[in-house]
Amino acid sequence: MSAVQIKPVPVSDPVSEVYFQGLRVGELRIQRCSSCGTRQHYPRPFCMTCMSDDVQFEVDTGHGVVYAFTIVRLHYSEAFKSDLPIVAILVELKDGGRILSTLEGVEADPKFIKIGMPVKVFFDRVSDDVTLPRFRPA
Amino acid sequence: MSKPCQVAIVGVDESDEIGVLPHKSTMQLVAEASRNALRDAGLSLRDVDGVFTADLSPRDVAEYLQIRPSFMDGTSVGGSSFVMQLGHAAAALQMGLCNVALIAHGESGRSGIGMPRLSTGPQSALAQFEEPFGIPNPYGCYAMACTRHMHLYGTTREQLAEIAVATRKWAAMNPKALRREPITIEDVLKAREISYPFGKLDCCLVTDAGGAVVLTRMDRARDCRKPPIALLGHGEATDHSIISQMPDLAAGPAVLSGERAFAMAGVKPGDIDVAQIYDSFTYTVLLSLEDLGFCKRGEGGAFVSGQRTAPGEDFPLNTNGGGLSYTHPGMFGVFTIIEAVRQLRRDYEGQELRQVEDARLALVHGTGGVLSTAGTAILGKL
Repeated sequence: MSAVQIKPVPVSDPVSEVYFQGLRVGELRIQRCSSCGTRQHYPRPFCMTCMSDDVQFEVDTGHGVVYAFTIVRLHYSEAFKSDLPIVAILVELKDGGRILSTLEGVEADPKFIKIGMPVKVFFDRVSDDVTLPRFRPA
Repeated sequence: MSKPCQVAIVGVDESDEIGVLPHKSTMQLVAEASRNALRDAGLSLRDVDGVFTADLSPRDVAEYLQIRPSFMDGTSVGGSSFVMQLGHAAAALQMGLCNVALIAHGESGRSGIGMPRLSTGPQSALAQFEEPFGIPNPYGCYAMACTRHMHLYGTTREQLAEIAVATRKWAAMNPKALRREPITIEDVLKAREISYPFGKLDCCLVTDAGGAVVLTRMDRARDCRKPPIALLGHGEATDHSIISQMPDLAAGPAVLSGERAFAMAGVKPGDIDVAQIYDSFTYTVLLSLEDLGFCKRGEGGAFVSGQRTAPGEDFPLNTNGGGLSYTHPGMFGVFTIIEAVRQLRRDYEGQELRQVEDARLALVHGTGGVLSTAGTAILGKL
């Protein structure tokens, strides 16, 4: 683990670009295969279930539940030190698929963070180029 | 179907020293461990024609050791890689692609001397979809998986602490272990919180160390210095790379690697006399015990309670003190093999509880990434 001093920001690739563009305009875009109906996240160039090219991005409701969480007290990157404690969560989206994010607006105490609790996305504009999807209790 | 009994481990050892070694490079640790393991086998560098490494390129290691191998494997999928390489080496040996296989690892994980530069790059899935949120890799991801298990099965921090305490008891008997002072359940619960639910003592050490393993076909193994230890079964599996892609945070790919290894060896979990299960975190062990079938799903917490895995108890586990207390340079898998072989050879004869009585069948299990990859092997005394 090398000490990273600059907070990492996502750099899109040609397939994920649509996803990150969506975040900038306040949309959580998740791929769905028009052929077999399977949702997949993160974005891939074709459907990894049925191999069809016919995958479309749909705008997700942004609703889901906490699937798992951790409260980060120590980070090897100086860049995150001022954010600690970080409540990192895995969200199970209502319409399928999981997304890693943070839970905001809740005290960083396992008493208040419950697996299964409903959450809703909001969009955190980090810079002109980067918006991150974060979650609050619904 | 392979014939695993035709291949044996004939030499194992660590580097000359392990622990905190700011005066030694990664490559020196590789070289020391390789020489020591070859001497253990009664072989020399000249005999080696198969080179197996992870993170480090087999090209670089072969050059450093002045070996010209006919077979190279650089499977690098985390700390489980070396356990997987037992199977890869067996396949290569049985096909005659090499005759003496060297699995060599060294890592200046603590001091950072001559470490390979490893990065996933800013457009990797990890960098795009996880790192920006500040979840530390790997410990934040393991901690997250653990909360899922606690939620589903009522697993407690006290149960996880049982593993750390029992492992420390084994370390107390190992002069090479970095942390040997006794700890209590209370100590584990009260240790500084790193990433809930893990405190400092739920997490492995960060050290400098090398380890190596030498294998050959059974016909040649019988001429080696120490009794050969047969590779009876092996299996490997992966079901994700980054944590948000893990299908079930409370069940890992060890389910598959374990099934494969047990099936090949023709034995059951209940037949195992001693187990070395990669303990990057206390939860890694608990989940692996369930995945491998030592207990039912959700019963890992109950299984390890009452110091069941401590010296002299029912289930001897991580008998060198594990990654939690003995050493952990970053990828621990190779050390699980070394310890299993020593137990089966009775290298600790006369050291009372340290030697597991009547150990004839051992399981070694490596986990890599964030519960991403699993390698399992069954070793047996002839």
